[in-house]
Amino acid sequence: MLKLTTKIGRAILDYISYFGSLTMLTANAFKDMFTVKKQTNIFKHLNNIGLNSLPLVVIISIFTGMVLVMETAYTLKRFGAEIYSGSIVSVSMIRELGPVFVAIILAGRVGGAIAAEIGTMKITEQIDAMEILAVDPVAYLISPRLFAGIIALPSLFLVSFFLAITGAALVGIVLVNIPSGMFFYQTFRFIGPRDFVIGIIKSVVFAVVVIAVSANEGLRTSGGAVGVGKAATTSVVVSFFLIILCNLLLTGFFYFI
Amino acid sequence: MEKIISLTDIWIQFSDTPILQGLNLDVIKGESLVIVGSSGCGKTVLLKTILGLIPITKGHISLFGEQVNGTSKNKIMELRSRVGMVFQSSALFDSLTVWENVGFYYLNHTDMTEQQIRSAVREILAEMGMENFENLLPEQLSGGMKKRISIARALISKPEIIFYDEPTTGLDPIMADSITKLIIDMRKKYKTTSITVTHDIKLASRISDRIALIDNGTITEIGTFEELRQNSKNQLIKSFLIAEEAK
Ligand SMILES: Nc1ncnc2c1ncn2[C@@H]1O[C@H](COP(=O)(O)OP(=O)(O)O)[C@@H](O)[C@H]1O
Ligand SMILES: [Mg+2]
Repeated sequence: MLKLTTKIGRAILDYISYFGSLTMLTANAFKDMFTVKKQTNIFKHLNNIGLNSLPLVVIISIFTGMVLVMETAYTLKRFGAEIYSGSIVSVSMIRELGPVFVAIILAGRVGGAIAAEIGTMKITEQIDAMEILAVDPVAYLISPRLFAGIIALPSLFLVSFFLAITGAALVGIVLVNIPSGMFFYQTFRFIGPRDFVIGIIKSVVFAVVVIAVSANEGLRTSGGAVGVGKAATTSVVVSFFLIILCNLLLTGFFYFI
Repeated sequence: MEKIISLTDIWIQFSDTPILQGLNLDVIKGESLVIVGSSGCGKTVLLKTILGLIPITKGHISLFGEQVNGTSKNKIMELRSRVGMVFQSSALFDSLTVWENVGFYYLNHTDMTEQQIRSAVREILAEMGMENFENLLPEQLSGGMKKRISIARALISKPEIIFYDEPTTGLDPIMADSITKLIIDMRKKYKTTSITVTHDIKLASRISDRIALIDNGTITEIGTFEELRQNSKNQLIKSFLIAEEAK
C-alpha cells in the first residue's frame, strides 16, 4: 500500500518536474531569441522547418479538401444542399483541421529530428563541450529553431488552408457540378478575419509546443543510441498529445471570448 | 602557492548511487595534476563538476577563487571562458567544419572577422601538425586527428587551466605517443595549469607534477610519481607501475 502511494507520488512529481523543465526551457529559449550573437543559421532552420515541409503540406491539404467535399457533397445532395460543401471545408480547415494538420506534420517531420540531433549531441558530450566554450546550448541550438518554427508554422497553415479550398473546388466544381461562383461564395461566406487570426494563433502555439517538447527530449537524452531513439519517439508522442490538448483548450477559450 | 582550484567535501550521487563521497582536492597554479582511478569511479564526473556541469549534493567548489556551485549562470560562463577541456570522445560539433570547431569560441564571443578567426585557426592547427584540414567535417577525420582538433579548440583562447579527459585512451600506441608529445609541447609553450585524467601510466609519468588516485569516491593517495612508486599500497597504482617497469 505504502509502495503504491510512493509510486503514485513519484509519478506525479515526475510529471510536475517534466512540465516545469519544459516551461523553463521555453522561457529561456524565448528570452535568448533576440540576444543570440549569430543568427545566421535562422535561414537554415527556416528552410528545414518551413520549405522542406511544404511538399507534404501541399499533398495532405489538397487531398483533405478533395475528400471532405466528396464525403459531404453526396450526403448534402440528398437535401439539395450540396452547395454548402465548400463551407464545411473552409470552416473546419481554418479553425481546427488546418492548424492541427500542419502541427502534426511538424512534429513528425521536424520534432523527431530535432530530438534525435540534440540527443546525439548530448550523449556525445557536444552539449557539454558547448557549455565549456561558454556558449549556452539553449540560446545557440533552440532559440533559432523556435523562431523559425513560429514563422514557418503559421505560413504553412495559410498555405494549407488555401490549398484545401483548391482541392475542394476541384471536386465541388468539376465533379459535383456546383457553379463556381456559388461554390466560392458559400466557401467564404461563413468565415471571417477572426477565424484567420484564431488559426494563426493556434499554429504559433503549436509551433512552440513542438519545438520545446522535442528540444527538451533531446537535452534529457541519456543511454546511448537507444536513448536517442527513445527521445525521438517520445518527442513525437508527447507533441501529438499536447497539440490535441492545446487545441481543445484554445477552442474552448475562443468559444467563450 | 596559489590554489587555482579548491574542492571541499564534494558529494555527488545519481538517483541513489553515490559517486563522489566527501572528496577534497586542491590544484596549484601552474602544476600538472594527473588523476587516476578505476573505470567508472567518477573521474569524468569530477572534471565536469569543477566546471559546474554536474550539480553537487553537498560541498564547495572554488575556481580561480570564485565559488562555482550555486553561482549565477553568467558568472559560471565567465569562469568557463578561462578554461579549456578536451573530452574523451573529442566531442567535436559534427555539423561544423574543422575551422568552425576550432574557432567556435572566437565565433561566439568576439567581433573578429571570419578572416581573422581563420588565420588564428590556421596558426594553431599548424602547431598541431594539422595544416590543410580546415574545411573538412569531423566525420572525415580519424580518432587521433579529432583529438588534435579538440586540443586546438581548447587551447586557441589561451585558457588558464586545461582539462584532458583520457586523451590517449582508444588511440593506437603511435598516435598515443604523438598526442602525449603534443600535450608536453603545448604545456611547455603555454605553461597552462593542467588536469589530466588517464589510465595511461606512460603519459602520467611524463606529464605529472603530482598524481591523485580516486577510490571509493575520495582521493586516497596523492603525491609525485616517485612518491607513489615507493609508498603506494594501492593495487591499481602497483599494477600501473608493474606495467610500466615491464616496458
Ligand atoms: N549524467 C549521469 N547520470 C547518471 N549517472 C551518471 C552520469 N554521468 C556519470 N554517471 C555514472 O557515474 C559513474 C562515474 O562515471 P564517470 O565519471 O564517467 O567514470 P570514469 O571514472 O570512468 O570517467 C558511472 O557509473 C556512470 O554511469
Ligand atoms: Mg571517464
